[in-house]
Amino acid sequence: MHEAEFDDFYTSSFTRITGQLYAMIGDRDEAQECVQEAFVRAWAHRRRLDRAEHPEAWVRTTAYRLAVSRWRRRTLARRPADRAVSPAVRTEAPDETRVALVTALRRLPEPQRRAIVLHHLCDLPVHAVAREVGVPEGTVKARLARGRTALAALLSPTDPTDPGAQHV
Amino acid sequence: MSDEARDPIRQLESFTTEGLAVTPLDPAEVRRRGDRRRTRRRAAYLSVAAAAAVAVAVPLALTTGGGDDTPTLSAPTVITYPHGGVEVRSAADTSKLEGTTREFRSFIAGVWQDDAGQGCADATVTVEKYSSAGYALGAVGGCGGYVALWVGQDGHWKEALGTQDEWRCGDLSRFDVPSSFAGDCYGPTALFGPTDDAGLRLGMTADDVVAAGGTVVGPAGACQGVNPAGIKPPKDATLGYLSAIPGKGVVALFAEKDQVTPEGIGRDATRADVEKAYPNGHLDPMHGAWIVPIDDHSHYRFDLDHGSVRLVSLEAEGTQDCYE
Repeated sequence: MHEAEFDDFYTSSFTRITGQLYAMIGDRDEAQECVQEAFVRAWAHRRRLDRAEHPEAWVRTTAYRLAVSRWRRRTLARRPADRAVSPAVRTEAPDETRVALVTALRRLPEPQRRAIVLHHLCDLPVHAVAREVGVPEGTVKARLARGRTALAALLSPTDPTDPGAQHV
Repeated sequence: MSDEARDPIRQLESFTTEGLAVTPLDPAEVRRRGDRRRTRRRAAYLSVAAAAAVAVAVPLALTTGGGDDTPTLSAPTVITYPHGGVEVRSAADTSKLEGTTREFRSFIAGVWQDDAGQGCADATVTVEKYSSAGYALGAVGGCGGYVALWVGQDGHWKEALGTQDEWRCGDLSRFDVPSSFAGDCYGPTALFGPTDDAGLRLGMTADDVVAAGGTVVGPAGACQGVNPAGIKPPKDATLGYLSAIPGKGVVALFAEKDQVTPEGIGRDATRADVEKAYPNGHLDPMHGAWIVPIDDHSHYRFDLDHGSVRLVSLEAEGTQDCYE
């Protein structure tokens, strides 16, 4: 990948991947930092990136795993009680719908949340989600079905669930 | 609220980052940072080459024993071949490897044959140093080129390590090769697991942790952080977790960058290194981690990032209240 190609790739996909990671982990600042780092690694390993069938998936996966790793070791005082992969939220977007959606996503179990975001937000077909996550297609379908049901309940105006409750 | 707003999937599909104040670095700055990392890796490789060049300038005295075609070494037992080492460009060239055993020369002939067999027009194996303790240093240069560390036991030689980078100290420890022989190394040397991390063990209570010199971080009644004595945790991070579930105790410990497992695996090891060191492990595809059972109660977890280890952990089996 040449400089111009990389710059085009970076410029055209940075915001999109950041949004996708934001939906996955629930923290926009953390998402941006991880995506930024993933692109630095992408350029440092550009020969490997050239061989990647889907460079955007490479960057997204790198950023996601960075976020998971950072979250696992973060001191508890800086983390929410949520057991899912969701670091402390420092900045929320002002859009109410988006805030509600991200909040609901954060309360889904991690596997369901990732499948939902990859399929419905990243617009990946089931087989591509399965490849990116590394599980059979049937598992992805099950996670999507359960995740959609849980998400609908969480976003329902009559949802009686305590906002602090967990769905694990 | 409209029907559209209530439909979670339609909400998700219309989720955009418009309005979010995303402020990425300039593309040129991203490339500059990436290039800087490549430069550091290349510098590490060149330092190995420089160290080898200095080493071969050391003179050495050899005497040949009577009757045996294997010369007997006078002190020292390490042979450093002058002029950059002995270049093997044919099987017959291995006769130039004075002071080595017949088995080693046969092995090197095989290495050259393999290199030549790959269609390398300039197949060359260079032997720079040899130790009667059972290891040797050199380079395989026909196709691509890399420095190699060979080890032998009971007459059976094999290529233990090959790299275009600097040696990892953990790898040298694994093969009992001193860095004074192999050259500079980087990275972890302190052991991590399988049962102990600087005095802390999985299952310890808070009192046990303190008695072992460690510290417990955070209020009781919920999962707490733990840190072993003598290891400074990174900023905003902890080196382990103590569960609040009765009977669980310490449920996770994380290796720092100067630590490796007894098999030489630390951060920056490759996935191939991990799989080779722990063939009994399996991949956790959800987290991109290689899981290696230790006993019925614990396992190693090697979080991978596109082929490299990013985090090494000891984890207790079963549910816990700290993460995931």
